Amino acid sequence: MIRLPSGERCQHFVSLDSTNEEARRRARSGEAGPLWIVADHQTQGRGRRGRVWQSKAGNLFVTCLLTPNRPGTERAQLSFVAALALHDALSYFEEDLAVRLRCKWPNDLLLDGVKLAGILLESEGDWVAIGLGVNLAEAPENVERPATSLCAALGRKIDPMAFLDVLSLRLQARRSQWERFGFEPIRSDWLMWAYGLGGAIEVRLDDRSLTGRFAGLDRDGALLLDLPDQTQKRITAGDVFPLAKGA
Amino acid sequence: MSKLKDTKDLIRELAELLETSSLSEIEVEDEDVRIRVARQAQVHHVSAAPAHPAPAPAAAPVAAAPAAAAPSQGPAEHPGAVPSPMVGTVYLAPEPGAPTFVKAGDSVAEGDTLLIVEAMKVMNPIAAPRSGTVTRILVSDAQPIEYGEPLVIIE
Repeated sequence: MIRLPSGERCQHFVSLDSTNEEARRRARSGEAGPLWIVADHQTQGRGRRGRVWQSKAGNLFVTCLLTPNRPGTERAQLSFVAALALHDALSYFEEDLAVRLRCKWPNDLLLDGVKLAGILLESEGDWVAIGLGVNLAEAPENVERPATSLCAALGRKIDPMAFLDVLSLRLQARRSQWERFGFEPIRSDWLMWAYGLGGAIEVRLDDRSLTGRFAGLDRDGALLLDLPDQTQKRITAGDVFPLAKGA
Repeated sequence: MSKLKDTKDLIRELAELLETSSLSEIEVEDEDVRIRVARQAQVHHVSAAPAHPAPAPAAAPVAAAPAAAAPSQGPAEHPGAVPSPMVGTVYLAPEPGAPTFVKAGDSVAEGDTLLIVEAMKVMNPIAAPRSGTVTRILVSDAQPIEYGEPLVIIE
């Protein structure tokens, strides 16, 4: 049984194509958020740009459907709201985990520099679906970049529903912070945990890749990249890889 | 004075004629006056058209479109322009290497996905605000875009 913040609902499925896809169907049929959609298994879990999200048993696959009363131009800020909520939730299970967890721009969670969780948001009209995949039990295999699991870090398995209990509270807290105080506190908290900040990074775009220094986060969440020619570029999409080791 | 008025009337008549015709310009000459009326935007529109039809390789004609359209009247003012609702990066296809959602010449129904704008890993499919024909795609794949920047033209 999941204890959710008041006014929030949850639908639990044994199997779904994708929790984000179910959220989209619900939203299109007029359902309003906050609605959590969680599945024990996904047959077509997805990541960014058509990538597959492996759905290992015991991991968390959940989407929070929201209908925020905010202009579309501010939606992208929810990426950072969600990343912080996930950072908060993961830290809850063991205090010293907090300093080992980093947020990779814009919203992946890394543990000791290795991917632990991913977030993909999809939006249309007045709704936003925040899809979260957390490797609670097991890391995916044969992936482009190495991944890890919370079980490997803690030495014990956290039940997905127990994790969702904590996550739902943390997301509500971060959303309320965002709604009351705007993006600035979210932005500064995110920067505190940012992976690779100040260092040399490579940003892979669909059609090319750029290298430079990760200078910071713009007022709207865009990554600021100092290029070798002394100019600064705003990045709104891409995969970030630090070139030097460490965070 | 009356001569000037006659000239103005003649220009107005020619302009109206141009509006209702498919001509791009009209030139008339008298003993002491020569008048030429032309429409800039339409001229470019027509000249841009041949850049589109070849459908195969998908990316090429799309990328060519903005260059061909650039010198004309800003596409943002075009009544059929679909503006970007946010700052981000635009994708013409659901994933790299996949066929594009639409191409110039396609008929679309209201609600059809035209492209995706990604902003900080928030994927925003941009739906056709009305039914019609996609006459121009003004952006290229993986290009950064600004708020309000025209993406496609539906007529």
